[in-house]
Amino acid sequence: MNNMERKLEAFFDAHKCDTMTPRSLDERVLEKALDVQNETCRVRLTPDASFWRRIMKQKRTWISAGAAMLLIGVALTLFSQTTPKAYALADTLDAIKSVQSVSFRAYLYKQQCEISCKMRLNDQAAKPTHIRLYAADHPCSKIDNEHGSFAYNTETNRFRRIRRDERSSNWYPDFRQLFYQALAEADRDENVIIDRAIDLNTQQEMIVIDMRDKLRDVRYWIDPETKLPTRFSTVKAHDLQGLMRQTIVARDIWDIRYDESMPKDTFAIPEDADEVFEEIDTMVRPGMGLQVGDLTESEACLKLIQNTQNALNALDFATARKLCFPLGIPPQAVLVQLKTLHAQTAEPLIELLSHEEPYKDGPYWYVPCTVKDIRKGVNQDLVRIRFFEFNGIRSCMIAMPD
Amino acid sequence: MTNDKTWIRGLQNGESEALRAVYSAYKNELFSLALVLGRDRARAEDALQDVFVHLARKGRLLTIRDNLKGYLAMCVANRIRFYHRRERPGSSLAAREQIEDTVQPEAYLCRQESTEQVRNALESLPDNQREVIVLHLHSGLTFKAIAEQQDVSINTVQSRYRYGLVKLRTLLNGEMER
Repeated sequence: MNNMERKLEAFFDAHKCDTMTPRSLDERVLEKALDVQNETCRVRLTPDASFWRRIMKQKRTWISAGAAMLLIGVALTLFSQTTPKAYALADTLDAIKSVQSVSFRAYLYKQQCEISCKMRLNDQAAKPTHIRLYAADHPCSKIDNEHGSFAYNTETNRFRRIRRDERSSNWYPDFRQLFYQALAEADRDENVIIDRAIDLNTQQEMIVIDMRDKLRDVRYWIDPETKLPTRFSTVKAHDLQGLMRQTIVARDIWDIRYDESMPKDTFAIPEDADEVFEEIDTMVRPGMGLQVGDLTESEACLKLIQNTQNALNALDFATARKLCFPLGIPPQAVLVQLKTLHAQTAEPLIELLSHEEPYKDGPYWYVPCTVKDIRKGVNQDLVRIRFFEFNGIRSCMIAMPD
Repeated sequence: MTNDKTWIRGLQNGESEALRAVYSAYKNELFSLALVLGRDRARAEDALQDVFVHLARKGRLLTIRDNLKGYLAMCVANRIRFYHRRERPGSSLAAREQIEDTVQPEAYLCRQESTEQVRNALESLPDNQREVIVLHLHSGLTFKAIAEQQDVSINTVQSRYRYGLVKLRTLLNGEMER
């Protein structure tokens, strides 16, 4: 612990000693919390009603968005069948239990990209045992299998073990639990409308379920024969900004297929794949980064920073993206804003002024920089750089933390 | 930690005494954390209430086994982050005046100058860097625990911490290093 950390800790300790909750706050918090605790104890005796809200509030990952929507669709299928005929419940439950694998495609709001997903389910179809998630525009995919969770780049044949395993996430309810939750929700939710409509894509009559929440109106399409969902779509977004702010929200899910044969290696990491340990090492591909050549590592770091700065100032995001890992192509609105700014002023959009020698610490190199951003002002920053090698060519790339 | 396990079992069984005991044990520290992260007294009070209501509602669905304090600290941080995303940045001056109402006057006068500098410096950090620094140094959470709760890699957490300290050092112009 350095001096700065010790002083900060002392500051926090002093703050803790000096801070006391007012009595009025104590009374308010305890009264409210104890009320909720009593209410919760009573509700626990009946099925949990808040399945929709719980799923929508949970922290989500790529897979969770698609899977949650899919599961909601499945659950809604269940309760839609219960309304007219009780026996349909058992039929649908049986249908769900017999599903062994599922695949679907989805479009995500915030990421503005399409993904596709394949899942193999356990014998009660309660949870996925295997998951593979593909990005549409990158060879990197996420795999959960019997050995763990991995990021795997099909182009470089590199993989990395990752901690996050969606299969054990607490947001992921098993089907039977979801079934009871959905029934309770259906009893209370006045915004759910169940009807029938012709699917223009297939000209088939389908069960449609319309739901409304604060952010949007959504529609689930259910196959009346299999009782399984075939499509999910956003009909109208009431709060587009709100949807864009959330980590994961699927705008549409389609092409949902059940029990189609999948190649054996769908969920497997090839035996000859190379294991890497840093995120950027899975993401990089040949042709990315700055070729080091005869430069020393320090010189390469500085040249990389210079080239990235030049590319950004030329609004050449394709080049900038090759040099700086987390940098995506900005949305159209931001691009227009940048071009306008660029046209109005002779100032560069961004300047990266290194004021100390690059240094190596662990797997990365660091360059202390002053960043002058025409939009954000002046900041001190550490630029993090990773060196890597493909086919004997050594390159380096900026790997800023997210 | 032994108390934590007992309290967690009590919370899972819906015992009101367990909820009271947890609140009494951790309220001041969590409130302090909420003030440092939230920079607004009303927001800190809301966060404290939301977190204990959440804890009460979880009941038997509470899945943690120990380190209740760490769990609650992360809940506070999550709530504050939620408020920051939802609200536009408000008047930091007004917010700071509100924070000082909760601090004992004598202590405040003695430490006013350095406190002000540190608080200003912390406020100017990006949210994710401030959060890691505060959770680590204020609430004693390990990088591993923070990484697990925030669903990011431990490297990311350590980088945010490192970047945050570099910025603080620059902002404080070496004052803290003397």
